[in-house]
Amino acid sequence: MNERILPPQGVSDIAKVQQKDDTPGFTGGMASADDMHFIELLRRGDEAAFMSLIEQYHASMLRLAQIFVSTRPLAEEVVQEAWLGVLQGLKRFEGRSSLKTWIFRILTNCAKTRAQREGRSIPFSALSDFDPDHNEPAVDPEFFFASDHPDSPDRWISLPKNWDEMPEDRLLSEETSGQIRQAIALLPAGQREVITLRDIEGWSAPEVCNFLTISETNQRVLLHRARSRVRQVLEQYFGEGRRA
Amino acid sequence: MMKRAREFFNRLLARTVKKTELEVTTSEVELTCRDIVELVTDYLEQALLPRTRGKFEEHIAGCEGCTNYVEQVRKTIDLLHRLAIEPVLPATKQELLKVFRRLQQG
Repeated sequence: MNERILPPQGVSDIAKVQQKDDTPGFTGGMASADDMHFIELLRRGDEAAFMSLIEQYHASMLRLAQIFVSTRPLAEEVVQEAWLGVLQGLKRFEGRSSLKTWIFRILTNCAKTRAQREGRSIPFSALSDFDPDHNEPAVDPEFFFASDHPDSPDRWISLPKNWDEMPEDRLLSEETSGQIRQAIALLPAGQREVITLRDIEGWSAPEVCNFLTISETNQRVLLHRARSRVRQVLEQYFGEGRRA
Repeated sequence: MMKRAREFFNRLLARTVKKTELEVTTSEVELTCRDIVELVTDYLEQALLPRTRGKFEEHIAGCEGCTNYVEQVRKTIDLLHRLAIEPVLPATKQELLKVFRRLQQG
């Protein structure tokens, strides 16, 4: 296991160059005073500080790494590599991005490098997500009356179900989680990144725009498609969302 | 090449497009259920102009289907966030701590 966490080539360079967040209009891009204090503790070798960093970000880094590489063990290696990059880059951290952004930049750089080596096409080209082939309506048109229907144009033919009426253990089952994970895995890459960061990890919209360098509007379009798709999968899974 | 470009353009035209904010705010049209499902993310993201927001809320107040739909999307977000509950294994922590100590010494 130990040879896996030897310095991978180029990681320290990655840590060096990726420190700048200057997306216009994003004021939360710089390191906070707390971040700088934290960095100081880490530089001094404070183990509790490092542990709390792991508690806070490790699982999240693992999930994000899996957007890029194909297997969980590979993702684990990528995260190990990223932590090493973080620790080696500590001395050079200047606070031009938040600590969190800096850590996740290192993570995605490691993950992308690994994905390339693995021969996987690198996700994140938001552009490909704007291909009209991906531009499905949020809900299948067959759920609505036609636009020229005399009484109910563009209204529901059968109403979506009230999920509150479903038993909670079904809603929160491991199988439901599996359905969601699978639905996300099948999304185009940009959508996958945005929904993972926004809805699973709980990042704010400006954080995600800043991190992925996409506009607010694009972020929202990707989020919309991704959420709509996951909802659709869930509705199918929960049974028919139809009433007679 | 031309054929491809034409096909691309036709697909663009044929796709379902939601009403733009401009259309909604400058006209007296009411929103339909089909509009609601396309505007729901902008609504939840607080990205609608006040007038559109008003029309959105007016519609869902009188429409059980759309009320359920918006709730489904909210629930979907909750369920997504639950995937973040994942503890870090003690062995992983110990391993990373070793790396940390080694780097401190070196």
